[in-house]
Amino acid sequence: MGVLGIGLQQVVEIVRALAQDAKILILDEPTAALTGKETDRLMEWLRGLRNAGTTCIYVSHRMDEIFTICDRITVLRDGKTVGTVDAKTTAADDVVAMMVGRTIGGKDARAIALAGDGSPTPVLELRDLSVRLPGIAIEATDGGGSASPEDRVRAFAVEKVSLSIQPGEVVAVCGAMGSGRTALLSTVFGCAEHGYTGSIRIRGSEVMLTSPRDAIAEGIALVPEDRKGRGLVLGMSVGNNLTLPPLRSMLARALEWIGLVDDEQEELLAKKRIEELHVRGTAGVEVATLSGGNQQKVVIGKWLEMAPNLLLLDEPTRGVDVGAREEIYALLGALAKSGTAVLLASSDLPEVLRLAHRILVLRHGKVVAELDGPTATQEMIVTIATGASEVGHEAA
Amino acid sequence: MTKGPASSTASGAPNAHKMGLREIASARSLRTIFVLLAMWTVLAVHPESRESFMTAGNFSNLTAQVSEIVIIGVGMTLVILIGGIDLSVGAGMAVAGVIAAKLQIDFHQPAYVAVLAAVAVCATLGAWHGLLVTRFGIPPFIVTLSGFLSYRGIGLVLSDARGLSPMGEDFQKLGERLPRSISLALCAAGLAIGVALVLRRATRRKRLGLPTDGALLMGLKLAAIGAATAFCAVIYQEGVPVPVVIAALAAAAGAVVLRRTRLGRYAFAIGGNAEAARLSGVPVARVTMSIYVAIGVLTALAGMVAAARTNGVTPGNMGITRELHVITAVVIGGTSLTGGRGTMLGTLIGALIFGTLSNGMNLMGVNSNWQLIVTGQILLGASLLDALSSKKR
Repeated sequence: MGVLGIGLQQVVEIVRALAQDAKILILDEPTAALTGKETDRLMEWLRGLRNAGTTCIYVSHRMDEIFTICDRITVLRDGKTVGTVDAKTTAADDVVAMMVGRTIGGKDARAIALAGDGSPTPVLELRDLSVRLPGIAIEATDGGGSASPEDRVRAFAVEKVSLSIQPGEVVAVCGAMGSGRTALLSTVFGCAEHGYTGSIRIRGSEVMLTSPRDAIAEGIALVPEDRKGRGLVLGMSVGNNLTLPPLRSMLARALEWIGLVDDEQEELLAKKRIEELHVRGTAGVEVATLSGGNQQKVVIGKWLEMAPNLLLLDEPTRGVDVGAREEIYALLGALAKSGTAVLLASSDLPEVLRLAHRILVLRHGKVVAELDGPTATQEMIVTIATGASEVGHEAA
Repeated sequence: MTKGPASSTASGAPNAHKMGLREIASARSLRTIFVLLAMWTVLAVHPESRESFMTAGNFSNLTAQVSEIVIIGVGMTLVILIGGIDLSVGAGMAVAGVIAAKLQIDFHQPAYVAVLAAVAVCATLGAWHGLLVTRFGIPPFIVTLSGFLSYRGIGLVLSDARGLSPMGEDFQKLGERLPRSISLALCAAGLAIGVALVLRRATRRKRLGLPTDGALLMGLKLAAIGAATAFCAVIYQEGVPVPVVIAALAAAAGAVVLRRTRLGRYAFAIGGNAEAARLSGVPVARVTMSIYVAIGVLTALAGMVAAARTNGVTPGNMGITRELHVITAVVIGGTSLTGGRGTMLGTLIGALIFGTLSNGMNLMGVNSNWQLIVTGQILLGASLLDALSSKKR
């Protein structure tokens, strides 16, 4: 189980639940890590179960899924029931308003306006970036149901990817699971264990990124996919998590050589971040006690002090409630406006369409298409990402 | 806690007071201190031990006996905090002792050369451990288990398995007492530094608009510092043993490193989640390396103290099972063997509990076989308490 990615682990969970022949099936964000095709298959299963008399409780924040599958919708906020509505007679916007507690403004308005194109030097420029897969055997299983012959012989997690991002630009990377999104971001953050080929340029100068510290020194920040496993030190306090990356800048001047941390300065910074990000919690509480949305705000917040040139986001709103999600989008908007370039990997297509100026579609580690954010559609992305356009119509 | 704009001093004050009380009630170290004080109370009233236990001389001895455990315990706390372990410290003490003894006896070197050489050798061994752990990914248990076996052997080979004594006269001072006047001056200095730190913290926080400790907590802190100083002044009225001074300095330095420095914070982060720490820019390998070097240096110092106290080195049993005593003290002190949680004060108290057990049972005439059983059960009890309380959380 441990060797499977988060998405496949979730598939196993769901299949296990289905195999038990239950009377009541409770699904908690079942599609968080699934691709579109896998989600469709799940929906089909659920419809079959419902028709056979199984009661399903479907916990999710994804509006399209809720309205596809559910008969009745109960909205919870801060642990209280806000109301129960009939799915057929209610609009998605109304449900979102119930969840957030206020009406949210212009749903498809692009939060981020691209900063003036007066700056010709890209923040990040990749030329033919390739990363070998550590073990081909593992990748063959990772391909899951859609393992094509191409998958089995694939030797690269990322293959000859070239891209450039301007200051203030948001570029999204889309693709099915195992398409190399995470590998691409990890490599740019210096995490490619077995190295990479090709060149990485940061603000015009060629760099060699062999560790996260190299990347951080270049002003790159990463919000990893696995928040609890890689984003946070769960046993530490909110404050200490927030101040971990900028700790070196908070040393007491007199005793800098032994690395004496200026406690008070650190506490002030933590307090500032918590207020700025509306984290529901104080600096002293363990970060493990926060909700997913608040934890994610901490993961992003810990990078704000260094004012990153490039922010790498891997599934930044997975398992994040609608309210926190809006706050994160607003924060990204503010960051982009201040000149931070954002490279976003996400399987949440509405999110991609809402945020990205440009969309790169990855398949089997290669960039197969570049789409313009404002004019792209979910169907376009899915068709290209799954290769449906080439293979022709695939039987489900 | 409700979120809101920057809290003014008005809204900060009640907040701070609550924080103070909660801090007092939930402190793991405080619970351990109560256990220690309870043990002392029992020994002070028990008919078998009441006459001999509550004497300045006995307490002075007790603290001198645990000083080796405290010195190494400072390093062991750091090692365990990052999720590691060091089983080689007992054997390391023997190597350090043999080197120091050989230099003095066979090569007629002064004490400082002997000490520096022992420290350098043990620091190198620590660096070697750190390298094997960080570069080659060998589990610390295996790395230091190998050291546990081979360093004892090295000590025996270097000394031809013979006891070495006596040490040089200047070296023997490491195991003796300081004059009374210097002891008192040290106590006074400790008091002054403690009070100054508490007051400085309070004024600085007030100036920056951060919640302060509140009068109750402040009072308790100052009272605790005062009581500890008075206690030391009484039990060391005949002069403080040098091992105790070394242990106190090591513990104070360890506490500062752990709570106030970048290295300490990084250690917490690595023990809590090494991958997240690495992705936050923590130099995991460098910190791990520094910590194994630190425990090497401290092991050598403990070896020097042991050699000076006994005025000789018997390589076959010097420091034997010391690694287990130290780990016991660290765990009783509340440091989690899974990493990411621990305090220096806890380790200090844990060492005192460990020392009080053997001291008390000796005074009560309990035979040493039973002492092993009781010590083992106390270790288990401490871990069980932690497991139960962390499940609640």
